[in-house]
Amino acid sequence: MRPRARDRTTLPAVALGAAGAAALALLAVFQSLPRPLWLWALLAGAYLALEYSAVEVSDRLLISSAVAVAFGAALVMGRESGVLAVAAMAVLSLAHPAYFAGRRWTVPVANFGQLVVSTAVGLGLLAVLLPPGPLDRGDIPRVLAAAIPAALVYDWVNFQLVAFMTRRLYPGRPAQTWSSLLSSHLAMALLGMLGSLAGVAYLLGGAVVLPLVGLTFVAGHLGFHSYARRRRAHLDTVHGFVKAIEALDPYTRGHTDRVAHFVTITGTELGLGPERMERLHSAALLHDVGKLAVPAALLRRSGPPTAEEEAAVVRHMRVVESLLAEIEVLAPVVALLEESHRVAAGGTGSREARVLAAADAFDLMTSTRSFQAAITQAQAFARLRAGAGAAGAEVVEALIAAVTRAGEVYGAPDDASAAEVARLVKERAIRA
Amino acid sequence: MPERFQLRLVFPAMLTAGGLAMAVWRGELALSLVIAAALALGHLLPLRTSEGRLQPLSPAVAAAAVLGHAVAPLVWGAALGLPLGWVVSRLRYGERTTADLLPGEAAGTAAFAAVFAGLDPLVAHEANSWLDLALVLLATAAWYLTSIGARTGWTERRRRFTGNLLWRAALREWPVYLVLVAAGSLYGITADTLGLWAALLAGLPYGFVHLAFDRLASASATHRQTIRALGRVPEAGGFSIPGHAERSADVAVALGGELRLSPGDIRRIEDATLLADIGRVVLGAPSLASGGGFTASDLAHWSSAIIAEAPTLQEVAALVAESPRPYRRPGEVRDPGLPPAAQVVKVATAYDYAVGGGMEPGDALEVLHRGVAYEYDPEILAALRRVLQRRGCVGV
Repeated sequence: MRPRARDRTTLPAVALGAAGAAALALLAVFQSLPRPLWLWALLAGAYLALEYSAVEVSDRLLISSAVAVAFGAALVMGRESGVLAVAAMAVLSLAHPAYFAGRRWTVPVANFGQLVVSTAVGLGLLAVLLPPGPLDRGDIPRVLAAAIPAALVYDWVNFQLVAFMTRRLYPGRPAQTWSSLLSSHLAMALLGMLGSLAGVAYLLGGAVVLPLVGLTFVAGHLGFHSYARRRRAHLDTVHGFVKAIEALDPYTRGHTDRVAHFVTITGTELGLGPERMERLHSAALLHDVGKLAVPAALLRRSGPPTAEEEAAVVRHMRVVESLLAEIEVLAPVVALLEESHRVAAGGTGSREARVLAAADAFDLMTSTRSFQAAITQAQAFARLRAGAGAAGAEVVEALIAAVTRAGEVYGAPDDASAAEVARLVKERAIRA
Repeated sequence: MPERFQLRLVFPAMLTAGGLAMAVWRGELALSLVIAAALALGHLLPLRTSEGRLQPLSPAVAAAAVLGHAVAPLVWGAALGLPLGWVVSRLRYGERTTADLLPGEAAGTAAFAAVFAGLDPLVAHEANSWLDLALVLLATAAWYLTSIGARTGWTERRRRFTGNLLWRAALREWPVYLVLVAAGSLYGITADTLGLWAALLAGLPYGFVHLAFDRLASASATHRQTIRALGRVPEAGGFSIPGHAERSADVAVALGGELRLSPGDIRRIEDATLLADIGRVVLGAPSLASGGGFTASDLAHWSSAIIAEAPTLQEVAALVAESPRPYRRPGEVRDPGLPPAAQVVKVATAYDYAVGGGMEPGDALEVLHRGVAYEYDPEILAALRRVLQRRGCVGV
């Protein structure tokens, strides 16, 4: 029996929490308390606000801007108390109401440990690399040069700790590689430099610098939040419309969601990267969007379509796809759709297009439509293998392996049921 | 000499010549040229508002100039740099996007410099950065309001919407000004102590904002494009008159502005008008006019049901559902619960069906007038007449 997720995370969370507590105790011994307290409280508020509202700066790149506040605070509080000051801010991260609402004590404990350890290592390195004595304008290049490795180390340690917990929580999920996080490291290095520079500006220019940096930064933060919301709204709009239309035809209801599910598990099986997976998932949700412009009577007709009707359906679908291709963000998705249509017609295409074509074909085989009965899963697998030329054996086998591993069964339960449904569908078609 | 030529070429040329002459005469040529170059560069890297308008970085340059240096070089630099910026911006982004740029920037800079120069002597004896910052904020408020006034006045002559609508829409852009002036002030206040590092201090957080606003504008534009593309689906399927969604949405927005509805309401009206016909993909008949075998209520019902599947368009779906309701029935008092926005959608859609069916605007208005006070709200039909008159429609 596999252990439950909660059981798997308890021990590592406790270990991380203990490491964080030990780091904090060491800092308390070797560093002095932060002064002035009002400034520490102000910066702690900013740190927590940013820590709990990571922003999506681009597709799938989430960053927490709190690192800029952490570096700024470390500079402002000085070498003697800077690391402890920021580590103490991390302690406050335990107070997030969401943790208490969910009664998931392992999450705040692990988060606390991860933040304190990352802070101690990253900002400890910064403290070591900073020039000795009071800072002046001439020290700025050295401060910036120190901030870059410190931010990278902070991010690296943080990443390793998060990856450690993720592996415990989701053992089968492939983790992102260090090299694939290049954008994140670049962002962290820039945030570390910004925080350090703001810290120096505060020390040399006074408190007037803080609201100006804060205001600009918060505006950017809110901008990214609105961006993520708008992006989600846009995708929801498209998917909502597609699903609404799909629901009108009882035979295709759920088809889009199932195809999206098949491409997800097949893509995971093939080890596709996150961006390719997102594009594939969007394409799966949109793959029948062209049917919006196909007359409903044509879609709901009994019996297989004539060649003329099929051509009309394809023509209408292409018109809608060309409308969507005008939308910048959807253009690559529509290109993938067009590729998958080519694959379905026996042509060639990228691996994602072949995954989509195979998933669509599998669902069509295992679903009953107005003119065709569902076959059994074993028959569908056999047909996929027999016609694997276009989709490719690799993709077909990945789809079969993914469905089998998930323990899911689609289509008619057995041959007898499949034959009975086929007979009913045929009779209905003759009556029509 | 044609007025257009005067405004476009003579005015900017005079501004540039005047600025150059003053900078030379006052011995501030080098600094003025640097400010002019920064202003021109700011036109090449504008901040995009969520509505997609391009705002040059002039407020940031102005704040940096007055806090780091003085007001006079800003004025001479602006006289040189703003026309130059307008030219490069026009070359890069096209005439349509930059039509109202120069009047807005010139008026804004003038107001900023006037307010700062007027108030600065009051606090000049105090070496206090907070006071300087307060002055810059006041001057920016003046820039903001003056610039909007100049731009909307200028735009009103070129576009087809009321000045009131443009003014209220522009007022929502205040975060852009605040961010720009904060970045500029950050440079101006720290330039003495940090030297050139002040540019990095101001540039890094500003870069973060720039990226965020750019992404936001892009996502907003994509969302708008998606709604428009979905609105065109019935036309693509041959279920509706070509161009109906775009044209009726354009009239609906103008009507909303004429009736002084809020920008949020106008946005919902625009979306509702664009998507009002989406139900035709279910009903499938070519058009109401040709007797498709379904009623306006059927269409509104199906359109609304489809729109409601998108979580963020619930209010739009409600508006579409309300749109077939009559203003009042004979013998009944007016329905106080009928939102004007729903009537706007109804009027704009009906008008475009009439025009799309081959009628002249005057005749289409006449047809709508037959249903005034029962089917259509008289106030909204009067607003439609004003919109058509503003657009120069003959016979209205």
